[in-house]
Amino acid sequence: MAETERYEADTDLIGMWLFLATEVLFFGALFFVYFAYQHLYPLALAEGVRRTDLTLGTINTVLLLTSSLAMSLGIVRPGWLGRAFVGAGALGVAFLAVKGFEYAKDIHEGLFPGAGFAAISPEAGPERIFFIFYFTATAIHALHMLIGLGLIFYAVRGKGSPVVVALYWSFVDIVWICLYPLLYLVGRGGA
Amino acid sequence: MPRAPLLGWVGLLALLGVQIGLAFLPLGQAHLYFALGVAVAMATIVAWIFMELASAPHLARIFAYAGLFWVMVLFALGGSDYATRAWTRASESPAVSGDQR
Repeated sequence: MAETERYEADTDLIGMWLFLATEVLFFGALFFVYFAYQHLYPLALAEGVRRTDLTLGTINTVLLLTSSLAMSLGIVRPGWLGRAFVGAGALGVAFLAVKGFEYAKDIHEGLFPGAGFAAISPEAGPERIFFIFYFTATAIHALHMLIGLGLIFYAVRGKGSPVVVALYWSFVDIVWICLYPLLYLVGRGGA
Repeated sequence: MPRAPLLGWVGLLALLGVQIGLAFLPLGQAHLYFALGVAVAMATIVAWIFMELASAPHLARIFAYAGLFWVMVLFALGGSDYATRAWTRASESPAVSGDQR
């Protein structure tokens, strides 16, 4: 590879890492809010966790981890790039479909923290806060996935840098890895 | 088949299993720390293997570590408020109602 091309590729990569560093702080503030409420109201948050759907959340975690693997394989073996990216994108679409189904179920069960919110713990306020966090965090994550799917679409058509798209996609995966235990696990077996 | 990404994926699924198992053990408040510990291990696998941080240009690694550093500053300074509220509360006023600590 010519010197100039190598510099260009490095600059793409470094630029994406810089953007991801700002994203870490963006999501960091969101996670900090969770930790503050977890510190103040551990019992009400555990009550919230027990009302989320562990099965759907876990299926989605496996879908995302696998889509990140597909991307990684496409980068390691350039010959597989097209198929790997299409596979990763399909798994991403499956994730969003499961999430949409889960949202519908959540809303049906009165978990949306709006006028129809059905609290079960004596502390309706903090329990409502858990679901505000749940819907805000998962919606922002889903928005990132939609952007990622757009980037994959362009990459498959030969536009942009596939390595940069894979970096972004895996970062969105990391955000989910951090969200999953807070939304589905901590407090499930009793606070 | 490239081995590193596949081994990373198997490791991620194993850690996910461990995390779910831990959620049903009677660990009380320690739950949060165990769950986060496993999540950090999983995130490290994704960053190190899938995102190729191990072989990334030095400047990219500096940006990655800087992001981590500043988010730790955010948690440390923000958390110091909540962690020290109880110190003054005992001597000043009765506990805030609704507080579960």
